[in-house]
Amino acid sequence: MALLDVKDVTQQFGGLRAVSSFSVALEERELVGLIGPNGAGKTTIFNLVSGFYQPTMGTIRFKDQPTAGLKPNHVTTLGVSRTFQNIRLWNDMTVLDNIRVAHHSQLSYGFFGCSFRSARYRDQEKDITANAMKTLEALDLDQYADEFPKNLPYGTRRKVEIARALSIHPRLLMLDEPAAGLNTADLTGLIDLIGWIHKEFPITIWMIEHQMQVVMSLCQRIQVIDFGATIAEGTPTEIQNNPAVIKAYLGDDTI
Amino acid sequence: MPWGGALLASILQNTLNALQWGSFYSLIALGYCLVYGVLLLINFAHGDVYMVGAYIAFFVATFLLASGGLPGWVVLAVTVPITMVLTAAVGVTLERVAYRPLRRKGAHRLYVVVTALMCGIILENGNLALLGAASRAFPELVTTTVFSLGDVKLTNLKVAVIVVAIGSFLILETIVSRTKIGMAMRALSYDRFALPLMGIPPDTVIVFTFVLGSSFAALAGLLFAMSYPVLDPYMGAMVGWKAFIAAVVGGIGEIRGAFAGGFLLGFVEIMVAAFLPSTFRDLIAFTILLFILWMKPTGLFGVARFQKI
Amino acid sequence: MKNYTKPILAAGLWAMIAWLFLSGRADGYWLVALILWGGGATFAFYGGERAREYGFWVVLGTLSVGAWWLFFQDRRMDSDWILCIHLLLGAMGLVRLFGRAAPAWNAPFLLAVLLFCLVWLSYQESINVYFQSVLMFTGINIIMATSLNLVNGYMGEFNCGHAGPMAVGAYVSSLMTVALFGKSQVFGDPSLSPALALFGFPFCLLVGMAAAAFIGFLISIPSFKTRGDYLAIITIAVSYIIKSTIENMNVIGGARGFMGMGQVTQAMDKAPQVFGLKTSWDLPWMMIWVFLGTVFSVWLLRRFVTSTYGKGIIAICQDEIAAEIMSVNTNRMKIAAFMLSSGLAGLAGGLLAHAIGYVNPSTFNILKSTEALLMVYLGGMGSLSGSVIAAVLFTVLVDALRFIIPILNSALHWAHLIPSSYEVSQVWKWVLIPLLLVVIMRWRPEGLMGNRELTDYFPGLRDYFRFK
Ligand SMILES: Nc1ncnc2c1ncn2[C@@H]1O[C@H](COP(=O)(O)OP(=O)(O)OP(=O)(O)O)[C@@H](O)[C@H]1O
Ligand SMILES: [Mg+2]
Repeated sequence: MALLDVKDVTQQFGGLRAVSSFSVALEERELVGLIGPNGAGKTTIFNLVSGFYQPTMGTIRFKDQPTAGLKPNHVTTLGVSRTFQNIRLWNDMTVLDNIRVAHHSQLSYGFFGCSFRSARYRDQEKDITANAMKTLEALDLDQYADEFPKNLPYGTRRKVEIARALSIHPRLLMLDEPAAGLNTADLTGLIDLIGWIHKEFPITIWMIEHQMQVVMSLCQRIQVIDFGATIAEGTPTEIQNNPAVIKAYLGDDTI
Repeated sequence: MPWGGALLASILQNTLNALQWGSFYSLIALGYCLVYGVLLLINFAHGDVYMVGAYIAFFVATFLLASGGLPGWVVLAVTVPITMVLTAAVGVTLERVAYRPLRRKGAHRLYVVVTALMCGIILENGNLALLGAASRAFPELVTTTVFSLGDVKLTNLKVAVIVVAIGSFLILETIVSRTKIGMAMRALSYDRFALPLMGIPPDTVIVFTFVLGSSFAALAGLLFAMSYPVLDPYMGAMVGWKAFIAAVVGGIGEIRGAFAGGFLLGFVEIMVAAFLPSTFRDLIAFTILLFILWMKPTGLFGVARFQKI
Repeated sequence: MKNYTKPILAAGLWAMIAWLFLSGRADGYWLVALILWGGGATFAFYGGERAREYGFWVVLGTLSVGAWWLFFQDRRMDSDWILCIHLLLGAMGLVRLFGRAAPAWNAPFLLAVLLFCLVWLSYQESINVYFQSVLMFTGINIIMATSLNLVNGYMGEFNCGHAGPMAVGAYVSSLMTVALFGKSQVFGDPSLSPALALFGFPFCLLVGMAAAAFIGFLISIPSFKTRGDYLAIITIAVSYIIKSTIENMNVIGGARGFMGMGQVTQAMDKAPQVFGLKTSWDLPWMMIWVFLGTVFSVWLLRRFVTSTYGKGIIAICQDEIAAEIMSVNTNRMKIAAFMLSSGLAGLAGGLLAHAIGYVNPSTFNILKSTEALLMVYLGGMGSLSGSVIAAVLFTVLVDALRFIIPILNSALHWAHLIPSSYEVSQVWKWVLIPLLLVVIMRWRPEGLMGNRELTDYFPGLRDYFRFK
């Protein structure tokens, strides 16, 4: 049984078919890449899996459970977590709060719990704070816990966003262009970080990336899409030499 | 006359009234919409700029009437441009003194909106404090001629109001879609930083927008003063809020939307007042508008801009 | 700035002591206490870390022990004001000295002393009815501003119809109290003994809040899909619809309004009758209720926005898409925010109706909503203490101008700056206030506090109220 099973999913925006009959199956602990030219529909696929859009056609199953009709926060509780192409941290909240709020859907104390500071409130707040600190420490970010993300350098913000996604112990981590905007030094750090996460945590990673260096050195398997449809699939070396990919994605250049 | 005929006449008559009433809303809503389109600023002082326009028209017209034996239509012809220019000056002053410094300091959008709200209150009460509470009667500049088509009565003024509103809409639509500065206005609403590339400084465009919006508000004020010749300092407050609502229901930032929204609100108000007790007017008008927004969350003509995730 | 505060404070202190002494207001114990106080404070201001601690000991020790002892001894007070100031400062001293032991009780203790002082001063008629009403409006405005701040500041929406739920709260609670405890044309004789008014009142307020919260719930439904200025229109439309509906309900007075709440608040004095006592409590009940309501609102909001649950709202404000995808149930949080905000607005409305004694739909027009907006943005979006400060400033300013304008008028006439035929009327109040606000906003374009709290600027204050 695959962890994530996407079957023949199509997404229509008015006249635009952003994703057409897209299928993929991700196994436990895989590290898979999703690449394609700009506007190919990669982010839209992530949005569909997150539950942010409902597919026009097709089914998505996570842990063998259909996610149709679930709200994004519900999908998150099932164990799907992600980062965004343009960093979307809550900029006027401390880094620690950013990570705590990511646990929002796990909270069960509700309005009256927080008004009366019930026992459940205290327990849960303590748990999520401890968990958030643990994640920050694991990613070597604990010195930024009380900083505001807007004051952090770009590379660190990327890392904080990954920490936020990781903190809720997802089974599937989706990274949307994690290397976008990073300099070379940060880039090697990022490659190490993703590799380390994949080794340390019982997690499947699905990654959109334009930087070939990142994709080639990390992914076990790569899927290429263009105009919302899969055009190639295989190991990094196979993809590198696939003429269809070279034509659609890279033009006449070589990798 | 058969009953059906009377009903038809009454509907026709009310349609005409609604067109006239909606014209005021439309003219004011256009100003909201222009400024909003360019700055994403709800210029809550706009209703009061309309009031100021009416007062300026009053003073200019009475002065001209008193200073020489000019015939009414000449006075009117002179009053219109003077009023528009002076009111535009008021609008631009607001932008320069109150809004621009805040924008420069990078204030949150809503602080500018609240500043606009306060500028409106200052205009209203400043007027009341300086000129006193006595309401003023606008002089009659052109004699009202009544045309009767059966039971339906039509005055020259009513026709003029409707024609001016439609004309203004066409002019604005042309300016915004055809001229260079109009394109700059649209460009500014999409990307504040790309505009200097076109060779037009953003501040010029913004000032131009305020000039346009305020002078059309002045026109509305003048026409309102001629149609309902009693002026008071709070005349712009309620009308301003309603015109803003009309602009939003049309799809804020869309000129067609503001125009249509103004007429829609005029229709709803007049029709409710004509066939139901007038105390129900606001109740029903707002319920209908709420319903429209429910059906179309971005207004009649507005399109949801999708955000890249 | 910092270098001047100490000398100014010390000089002010000594000037006050001198004045109290010279005017014969302080003698005996008070004089000694005041001099110790002044000395201790000066010592504390200028001494080092240690001296500061000892200085506070001296000041607050003398004050608290002395004032409390005198109060319970024979209440021989030279002036109620002096007593109350001492009680307050003494309470602060106690908190300063022993507060670390049980930080959770600091704020309740200080607030209880403050309430006691206010009630005592009103009871002794040291503050007159007018001033009492200003205090009540301050409290009501605080509720109004802080509750609106939840939606407009913390959640970043633009609600400009806050008066709508206020009207609902005002009418529902008023109708209830009058039906239960008052005599009226609409409901006839009271259905319960008026002696129960004191105990029934909070219940009626709660019902009013619930009704207002229901309006909030209705507004929150379109907010799922509609946002920004479209949502602003929906809130305005709802508040107009509410106002119009009330105007058209002639049973409850329509546009003329509804009254009879005065007898209910007066009936609160009869509470001892419930226990078969003959006495009557002649206390400023509405002030007590407004005080409790204000504390309740700020307390509730504070607890809400400092919990991770409530921070979901702040996440919606800062990046709604991230909030939605990263686990915040945005619809539920919007319902929560609108219901809490509107419910508290209903509380403010209910208190206002009973403080004035009658309600009128035009009280809750767009101007009321505008006032609430002004206070929120003056204080700063997302700052509760900012809203509180702004509400106090605003209320005080409105009432101060009532006295300042005639003075200004005579001064201008005296200086021949305006023609003698022209009188500067009270209308100028509504020119000067917005003008002042425009100037303040130019000076601080994010409101007085920004999105930070007072304790972020003055961390020392945390000792006195540890709200968590
Ligand atoms: N909500 C939406 N409404 C309308 N069109 C959309 C929407 N979301 C995405 N699109 C369109 O769908 C297409 C695919 O967009 P998507 O963001 O998935 O591309 P992408 O592969 O992530 O590209 P990039 O590499 O630039 O991030 C684009 O043409 C985009 O304009
Ligand atoms: Mg993308």
